[in-house]
Amino acid sequence: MKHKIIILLLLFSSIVLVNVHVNKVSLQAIDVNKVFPHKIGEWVGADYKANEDVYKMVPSKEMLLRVYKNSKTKQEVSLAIVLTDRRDHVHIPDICYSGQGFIFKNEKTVNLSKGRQIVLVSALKQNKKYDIYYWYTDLKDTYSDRVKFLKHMTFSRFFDKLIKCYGLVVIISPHDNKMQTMDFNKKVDLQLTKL
Amino acid sequence: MNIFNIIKKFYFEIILLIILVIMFQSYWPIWFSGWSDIESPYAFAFFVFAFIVYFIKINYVNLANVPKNPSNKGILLVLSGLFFYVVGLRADINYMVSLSLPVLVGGIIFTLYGTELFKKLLKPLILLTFTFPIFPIHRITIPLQGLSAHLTSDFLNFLGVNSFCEGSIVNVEHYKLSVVAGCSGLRSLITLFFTSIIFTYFIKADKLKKTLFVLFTIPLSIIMNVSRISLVGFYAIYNGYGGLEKFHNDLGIVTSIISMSILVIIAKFIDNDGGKNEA
Repeated sequence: MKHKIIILLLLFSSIVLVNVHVNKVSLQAIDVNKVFPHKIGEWVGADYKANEDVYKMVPSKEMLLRVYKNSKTKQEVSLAIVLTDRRDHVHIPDICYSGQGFIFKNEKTVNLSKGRQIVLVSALKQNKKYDIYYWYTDLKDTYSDRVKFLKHMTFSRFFDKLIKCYGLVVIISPHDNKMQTMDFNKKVDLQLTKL
Repeated sequence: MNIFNIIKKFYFEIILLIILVIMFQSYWPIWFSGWSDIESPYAFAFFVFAFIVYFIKINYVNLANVPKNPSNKGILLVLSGLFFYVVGLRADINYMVSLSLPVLVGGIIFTLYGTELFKKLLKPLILLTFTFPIFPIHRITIPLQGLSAHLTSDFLNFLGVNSFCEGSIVNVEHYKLSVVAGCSGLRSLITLFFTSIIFTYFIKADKLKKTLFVLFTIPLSIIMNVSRISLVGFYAIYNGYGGLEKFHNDLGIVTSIISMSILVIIAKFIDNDGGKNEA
């Protein structure tokens, strides 16, 4: 009988623990395709679709896929943003992009602005060089390290801190124009913090 | 034994079952959709459930006669399960929530019935654990898609067909074949792997033979998958994209049947009783 009572008490206390919140916070499933602008300064974006398989992993509402073109310089960059309330929908980019034929060469951290770091990957696809920039975000800060990001999210969620959503940004551009791509990265980051 | 006697005898277990259903209420639909979707890597779960029912049925008398010896050690397992449950739910870690259920069930059995029954039920419990999404499976799926594409391209080149691959896309002459998640081979690998584990319960053979038998499912599923994609490539060369999807799906069923048949033949071959024994 003693063991039965202990088990019942433990089960009930765990139900209480998961349902008691300091702040009543729930993550938002932001429809990124609706809220993220098609025009950012000189950059104009056009949506594109991924194959069906991709949407099985991340629903289309949670994922933005656009090619932005600079109206002055005609440079093109490919932008992918995932904003989700599901932690397991934020994947490591090299898993997804290696499937598209990108070979990840080397990876380093670069500064987007003061205190905001992102990752730059040198990649190859069909012998052409590409720069892949990516970072994780909670729409407030940027994170270049997935483990740090998930640790931050775990503690924030566990202690009911005000967090909007899980986010991942991936920007791909041909290797030739780093300055313009960095300018685009900054603009994307700024737009995301406004959401 | 009528229904009232069953309720009377197992009233506490029924209460616990109801509590567990309520605790995991938001997860049951997700798990059920994985188990019932033939495209899902968890579709093998019904083999495991059928095995567990069979296991309990044939061992019922044996299990029922195990002396009830409640253990405090089991509470540690219950606490571990509840830790996974609370942290998983509060911090959105679905893998932890999924793991918490079998750990909790194991802990409850251990606490209420004691070590002996827990040990007897450990194997089916471990099998049951893998029917829940406790691993980030996409981390294996995508590299497997790439591997399948590479091996297929190499195999086609070996057969004299002009082919190259980019990531998970196989270019066969003028056609592009995308090796999607369903073609990664993971689903057949998982199904064959766990089916072979279930088979080992029915086979009389030494541990080494049983281990090799289970491990054999890895090259088997890769070979069958590469053969399947290569045949799809040949289909595209001769017929184009028309009817390709249907051919690909039908071929999936055929390769599954062939793989399972190979497994049954090998099981009979390594079985000391030649497959005559049942458990």
